[in-house]
Amino acid sequence: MKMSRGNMFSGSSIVARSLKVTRATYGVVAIVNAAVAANAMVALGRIGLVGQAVLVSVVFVSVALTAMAVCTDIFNRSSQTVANLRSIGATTGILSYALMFSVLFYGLGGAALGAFAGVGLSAGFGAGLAALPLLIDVLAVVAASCAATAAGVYLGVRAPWRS
Amino acid sequence: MAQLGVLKPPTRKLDYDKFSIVLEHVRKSYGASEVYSDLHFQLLRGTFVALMGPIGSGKTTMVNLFAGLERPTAGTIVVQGEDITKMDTDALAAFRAKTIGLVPQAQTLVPELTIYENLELPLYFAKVDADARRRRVDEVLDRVGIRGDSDRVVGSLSVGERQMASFARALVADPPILLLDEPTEALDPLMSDVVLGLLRGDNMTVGKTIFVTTHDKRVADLARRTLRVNKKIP
Repeated sequence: MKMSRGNMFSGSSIVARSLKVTRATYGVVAIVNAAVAANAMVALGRIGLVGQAVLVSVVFVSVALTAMAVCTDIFNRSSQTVANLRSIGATTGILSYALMFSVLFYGLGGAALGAFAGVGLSAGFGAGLAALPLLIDVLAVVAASCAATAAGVYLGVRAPWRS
Repeated sequence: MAQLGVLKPPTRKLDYDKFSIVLEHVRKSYGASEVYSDLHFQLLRGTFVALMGPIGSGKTTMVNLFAGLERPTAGTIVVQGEDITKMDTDALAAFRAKTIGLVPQAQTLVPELTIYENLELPLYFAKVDADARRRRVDEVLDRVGIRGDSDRVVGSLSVGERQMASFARALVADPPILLLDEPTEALDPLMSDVVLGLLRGDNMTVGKTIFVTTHDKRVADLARRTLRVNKKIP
């Protein structure tokens, strides 16, 4: 992948590539987020308020665990690179930001696509589609996915890189 | 040549602002193997000092101690007036980004990235904005003479070419201190001449504090002072 020189995101993209974060990594995050969001959207229209709260929690935990596992894997594959980057000035904050920024971007994309796919599936299954509740459900699922991705990345990188 | 072993503790309190690097009562050991027992060392700002000695005599350990890549077992290391032995890992990394240009003996460039991208990393870590990064990287690539190779992936370079890229990376953030561990070891005569030219007093290196470990007499001859360690570590 050829990087454009000097654009505002190039620094964090270069760090992410240094850590061997590939398109496949982003793909895993996006697909898991999309799948969880789509299923959640279909289910949310068919259950009550308590059930919805439980479901959003399940979305959060599933996505967070996935993001955490992905980041732990990145760390395990790149521990020598992390040490090398530290020797030229990389702090935990910079490394975490680079990973957070790139993974979150694809996580958000996947969750948004999955949520809208879920709306389509719900319509296909004959569920009633009231605009406002639907919008709230989409926002809740996407927000839960993003927050969970961020939490997972944080947990996945913070502890091992500090040591 | 001065002998490293005869360096004595200062008789009065040092003015740390005059020195780039000060070691006081430094002890470094790996298990039962003691590299330094009670080392005192001062490196004046803006001087060029070379350290020579046999393989396994602790030269790389000294560079790593100066850079904060290794912690001393005991003692104090002050770099540019800051006690780096009291810094945590992140504070040390941020300090290195602005203070130290390092050419380590082991290869530490990122092999998946191009030379250009490798040179951009220290500037990104030092929080230099994108336009200034581009200008500075281009300037250093020109000066070191590897502009034509800047888009080559480091993994495809020869050992000598990597060493030149590593040298360029050490210069790119314009740090006040350069620590070079055997900088000409893997270089052919032409590349060595470029490095020697830069060390001889080029705009890129003038006024900097330079500490170099070397077996190359031509490098040592450029230094204002040459230290020698004679013993191998048991």
